[in-house]
Amino acid sequence: MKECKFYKYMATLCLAALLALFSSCDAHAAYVDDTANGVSYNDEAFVSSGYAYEYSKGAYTQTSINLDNEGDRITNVRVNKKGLLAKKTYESVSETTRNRYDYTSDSYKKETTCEYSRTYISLYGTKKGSYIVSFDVIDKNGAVKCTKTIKVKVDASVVYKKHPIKKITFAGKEIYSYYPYSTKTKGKLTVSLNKGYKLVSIEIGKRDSEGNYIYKKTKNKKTITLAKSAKYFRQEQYSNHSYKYSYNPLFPSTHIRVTVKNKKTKEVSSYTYTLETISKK
Amino acid sequence: MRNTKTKNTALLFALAFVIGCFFLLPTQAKAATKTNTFKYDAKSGVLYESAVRTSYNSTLNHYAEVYLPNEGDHISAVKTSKGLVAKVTYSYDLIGDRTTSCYEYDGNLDSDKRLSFKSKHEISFFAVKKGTYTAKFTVKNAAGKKICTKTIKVYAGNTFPCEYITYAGVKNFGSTIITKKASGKLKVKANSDYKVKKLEIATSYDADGQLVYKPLKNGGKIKLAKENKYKEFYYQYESGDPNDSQSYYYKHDSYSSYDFLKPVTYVKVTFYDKKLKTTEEAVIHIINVK
Repeated sequence: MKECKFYKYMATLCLAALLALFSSCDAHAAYVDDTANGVSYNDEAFVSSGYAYEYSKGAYTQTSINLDNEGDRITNVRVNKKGLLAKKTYESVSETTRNRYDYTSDSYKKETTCEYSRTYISLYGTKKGSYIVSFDVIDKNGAVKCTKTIKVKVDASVVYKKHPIKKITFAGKEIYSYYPYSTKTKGKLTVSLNKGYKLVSIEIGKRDSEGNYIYKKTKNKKTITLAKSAKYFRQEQYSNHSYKYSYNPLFPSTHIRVTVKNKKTKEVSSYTYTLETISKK
Repeated sequence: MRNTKTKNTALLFALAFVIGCFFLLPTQAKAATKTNTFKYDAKSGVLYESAVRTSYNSTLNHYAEVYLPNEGDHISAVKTSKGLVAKVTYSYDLIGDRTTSCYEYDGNLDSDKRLSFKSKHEISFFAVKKGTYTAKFTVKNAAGKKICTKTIKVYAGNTFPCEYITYAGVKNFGSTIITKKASGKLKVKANSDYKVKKLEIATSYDADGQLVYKPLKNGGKIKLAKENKYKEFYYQYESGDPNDSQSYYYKHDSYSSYDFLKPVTYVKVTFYDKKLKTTEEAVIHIINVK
């Protein structure tokens, strides 16, 4: 009986030690600051579907490397396999060239020093997978000081999350159908959510006399009134002059802010919709 | 002209987003010809845009700018032809000490004629249908006395000059072209009421990192840039003679070196607006992703 308890205790201890080891591994894989060589960078990069994906079936990101030592540069950027393009695309440098007095020759000699350098490596992935990007740090004489690696993960698949808000209607019609503006200024607002979400609040925002949106809570399926005009002023007062800004938009807008909670993750998020009316005066 | 400016800005933002993916956006040079419709009435001291374009059946804010010379001057009324809605949507007034609060605006008048104003106003427009409209505004002074009445021509229709661009046999809408073809014919088709006045292409840079534009025929064959490699200096200082070994020499350079991931070719198009009689420029980016 006692022995059994002991083993259980040992097993728990081992598990805890293992977990601690894994979590410390995770924490390590991020920002590297090699003070001996004066190199600091992220040793991991994640390339997910970017804007370019739609056009060229690829994804893009960039990562930066800082060099602290004078004259150091980055060269020879390479990838271990096909499917990822890595290239040094940007380098910011501050350089000084000056004459330094040389006593042996009794004259001035030219000398160039680099004071600062920051490099960007652009990453463009076309195939899903894990890659290793390597680069060399060279000193001002061109000698390789060290070689560093960055683990790059390419995930080119687009994941579309289902929008929490299924439908939002004003006066019986979907909000998007009021184009270019709403001729109705009063109506019932109805919000329906997709499965897995809970409605937290609905707020109606209108501009106050200084132009700030002031939000007031309302309830689902209640009648709301849209802003019919949105005149607002701002003034800056100084000792012997002042500036006055007066606004009277042609299309006053009313904000509808819907806050929802993901039942599973407990994550709370807000979505703002806008309805415009026309104000001719 | 302000309304197309707004469009262009939006366009540039969209471009910046795409180009940002491949790093950088170059600065745009200003056209030498008339680029706006500002008119200055020396008698009343009123400066205003005499013609503007507006989109139709849209809540996008298209407006004409009006500058007034004296404190208390204001636009008392805006009257429009049938089908057009217009009103003053924004006013910026400078009150008090003129020397510190004076507003200067060049308005594309003679560069030696710097003008001072005490207020700036925007008259916004909305029309359901395409067409040509007019808006008349009355300016009154602080005492309520009428100073003048001016007319603005409002064209509701296309607010962007380019209809489409054909490159290597593919029609493109918008101003960024993504292609795998290294060469091909390029043709820019203007929207109605606009004309393509000039085409220029840039595939290389000068020593200062500025794009070098060369003339191009609309419909002509082009070769895309193979690389975008250049240096752009943001701070330079030099004193002394580097060849004189007997004196002190000092030179400091701060610069950025660029080498694009995918080469970008720039095509600058100058459009002529037949309605406003102005020119405007747009830059097309052709990205070779091969």
